[in-house]
Amino acid sequence: MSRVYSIVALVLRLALAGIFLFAAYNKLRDPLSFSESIQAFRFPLPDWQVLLSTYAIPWTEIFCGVGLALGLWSRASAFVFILMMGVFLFGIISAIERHLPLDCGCFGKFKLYCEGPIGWCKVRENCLMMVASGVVLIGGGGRLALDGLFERNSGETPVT
Amino acid sequence: VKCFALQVAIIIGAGLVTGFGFTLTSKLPPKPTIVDRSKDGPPAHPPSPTGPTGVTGPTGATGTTGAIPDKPVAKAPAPSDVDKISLTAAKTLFDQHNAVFIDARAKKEYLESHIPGAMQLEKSDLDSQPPAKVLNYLPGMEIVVYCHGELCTDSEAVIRRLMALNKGIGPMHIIADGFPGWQKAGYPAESGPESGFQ
Repeated sequence: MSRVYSIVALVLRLALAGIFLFAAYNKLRDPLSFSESIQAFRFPLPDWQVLLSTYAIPWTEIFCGVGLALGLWSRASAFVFILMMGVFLFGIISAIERHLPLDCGCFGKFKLYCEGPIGWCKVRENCLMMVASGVVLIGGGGRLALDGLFERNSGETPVT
Repeated sequence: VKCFALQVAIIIGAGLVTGFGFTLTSKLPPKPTIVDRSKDGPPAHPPSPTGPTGVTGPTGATGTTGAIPDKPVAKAPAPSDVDKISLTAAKTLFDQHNAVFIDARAKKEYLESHIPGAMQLEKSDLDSQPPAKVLNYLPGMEIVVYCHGELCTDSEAVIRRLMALNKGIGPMHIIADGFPGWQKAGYPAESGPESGFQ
């Protein structure tokens, strides 16, 4: 595993972790708005599923974010990140196709890059994050991750 | 591969279990049950103003009772009811001056154009301490909330928060076609800042 990759992986992990933790914080800070954002997608979900999603999504983001920040279970965290992004992407594209003028509620009142109601900009934003997660999924957390430390201590050759 | 799958399952499982734990202690206000009466006739109106004595609307109207329309009327909603109403029904309520109209859209959009005398109230205004105008003007009043129309959920969000205040606000209505429908129907609109609510 090259030194350059380890630094790239560290930057990607920290960036993704920051985004996830920020998103989770804003969702948990105002769960009512997030539950309304989920309902605004108008999927035929029963109320209990909306309520469960309101809390389960941000908590999964927190576990993933912490995993990526520490470099612990980096690949698994990146994979879960990609799965979640896939679900979000499906919701966003479906909302665009149905012309729903809604806010994704991803970061509460804040916006990461795209302004206004969700559109193709949000799709690009999510795809970019999926690509970044894909790099961590394929290449691992790098030497500067707890995974790398454990691998070195256990005498295994880190996967490159 | 087994180890990877196990890690993925643990992360997702931990998220679901923690999320489930939070749902058990959740204190989110219940979602209002909304009856769609937008295909019915104008709502029957109580013979006397529903608002408290002395409450004066933003347009200066003191709650005069309008004529009950000749058309067949829908069942009068109970104060706890929330219903979606048609543009005609909304216009009837507007003409009767018995209800407070609430614009749930963004302030910028309100400034551009809104229903005359409407109160500008976004859902975010009700996330903490409600503004004084809500406590001064809405308890005991019939309200009509509107946003961008059928696909917009901001009216529902505002109503959900107003119901959670438990101040006896109601009956509550949502204009099914929203402000775009109101404009399209050629009903009156005005621009500029809110006036009359302090």
